[in-house]
Amino acid sequence: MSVLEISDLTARHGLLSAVKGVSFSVAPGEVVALVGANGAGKSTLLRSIAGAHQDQGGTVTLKGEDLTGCDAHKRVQRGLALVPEGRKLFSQMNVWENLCLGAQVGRSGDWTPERVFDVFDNLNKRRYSACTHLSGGEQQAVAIGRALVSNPDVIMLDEVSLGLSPAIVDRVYAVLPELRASGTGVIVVEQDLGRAMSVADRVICMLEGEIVLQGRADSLSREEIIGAYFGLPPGAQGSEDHANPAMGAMT
Amino acid sequence: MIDILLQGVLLGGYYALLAVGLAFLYSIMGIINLAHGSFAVLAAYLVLAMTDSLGINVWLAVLAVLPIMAVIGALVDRLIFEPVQKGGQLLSVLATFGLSVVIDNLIFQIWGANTRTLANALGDLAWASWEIGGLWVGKVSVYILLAAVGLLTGLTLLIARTPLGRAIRATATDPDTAGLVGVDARRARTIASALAFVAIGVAGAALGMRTTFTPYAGVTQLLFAFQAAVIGGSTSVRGTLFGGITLGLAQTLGATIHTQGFLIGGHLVFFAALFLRLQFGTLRLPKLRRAAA
Repeated sequence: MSVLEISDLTARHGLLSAVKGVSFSVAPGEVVALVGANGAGKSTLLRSIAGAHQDQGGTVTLKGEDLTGCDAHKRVQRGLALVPEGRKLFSQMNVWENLCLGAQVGRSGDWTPERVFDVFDNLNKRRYSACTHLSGGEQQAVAIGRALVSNPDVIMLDEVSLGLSPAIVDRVYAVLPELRASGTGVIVVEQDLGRAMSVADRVICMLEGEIVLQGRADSLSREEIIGAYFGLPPGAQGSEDHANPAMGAMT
Repeated sequence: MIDILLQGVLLGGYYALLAVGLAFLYSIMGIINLAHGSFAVLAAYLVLAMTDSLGINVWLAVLAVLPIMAVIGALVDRLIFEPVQKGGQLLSVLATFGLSVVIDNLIFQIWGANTRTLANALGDLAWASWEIGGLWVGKVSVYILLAAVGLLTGLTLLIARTPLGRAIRATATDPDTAGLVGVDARRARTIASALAFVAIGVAGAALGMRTTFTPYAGVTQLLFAFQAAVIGGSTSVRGTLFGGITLGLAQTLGATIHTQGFLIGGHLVFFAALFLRLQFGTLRLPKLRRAAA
């Protein structure tokens, strides 16, 4: 029984096909890591699922309800939240107002602005600070909190660790077990493959808008994922490993 | 001199009331509504129609006109502002200019070219005044100033303190991201437009109560509203009160210096404010939207 079903999803940027017939599902409490090189279509896929990308096809079903054609705000109201790449906080509002805005959706659940302050306790003393005065980690915490207070059934986190120190990323990822326990499905886009494999139940690898590999995180080897990540033929990753510095960083 | 300053402040109250709808629409939606003055005149005619033709009390007529203006604002947003804004700022300026021409001529067709006023409907209040320390203060002017302060305070509180205000601010900043946090950005825009038109309705009623008006008075009202909004900061609802009073004082002081100085005084302060704002970068052109953090 899945909470989110994506079927044959396509998305275009003008003439460019950014997402090509992607299908997958997310079970309640499941953490799915979406990996892939820059330009693989991960962010476009998440924005399409969230209803923020207009030029798209396919179907998005949340808890059996077809959300295809629904505007982004209606999808949030149904229980689908996206933490967008770059945080996209409302800079003229303070932390508290950003969180209240997320809570205005009115979905009942455990997550409230106060609970966010409990979980990200460093935000508590900065609740009335303008978001522009926060560190990158604090801004990311606000962005995640703003999505959480809508009490989503599925939360999508796009590049949450981008530009953050490992210690801050640890704090951000510390929320995942709690979400998993509460039955919230999680899709996380992550460039750090090691972290993605450690937190995820399942890994989906995208290349040029298509899913080229997916499976349980404990059943996929790092080499398989790296090969799919770069579009290498099976068995070639060993020889390419030294030739491609980016792959070194991935491992 | 005190009398001149007092009259300037009271006149400024009217200008602030006139400018608030213009500044609000610009700050929230980035629309420079050149039909602003025409809509204010339309509101004055609607109040007049209710008092003259239907015999309704003038204050009740004003209350009845405000929801009508709200509906007009919502319709204008959906039918004109929203589609033309996709074509950029210039298209919205041209569209609202065309709209002002249509409204002016529509008013002319319906109510004719005669100069009208709401003073008759006000009765004795139209010329009633208080004597304070030897100065005569018109009651209507004071009521208009109080209405301006009340409206500006109400709008400021609504925007700053309420969930609707947060939704409107989020939409003004980044409508796409607003949608991603569950805000119906289109609805927020339409409500903001309706609120701006309610403010225009109040300003139109004030216009009719304090002076006379004709179908083509909208251009002059737009000019004063625009000047007050720019002097006050063009994106700040609170600054609009300051802008309106500054313009009122400049015009009143200009008129005491020279018989032609009424308009020139206002224009000089407007250009000075425009220069300073452009020079020191506090005027945001062409639109307000602030970058997301």
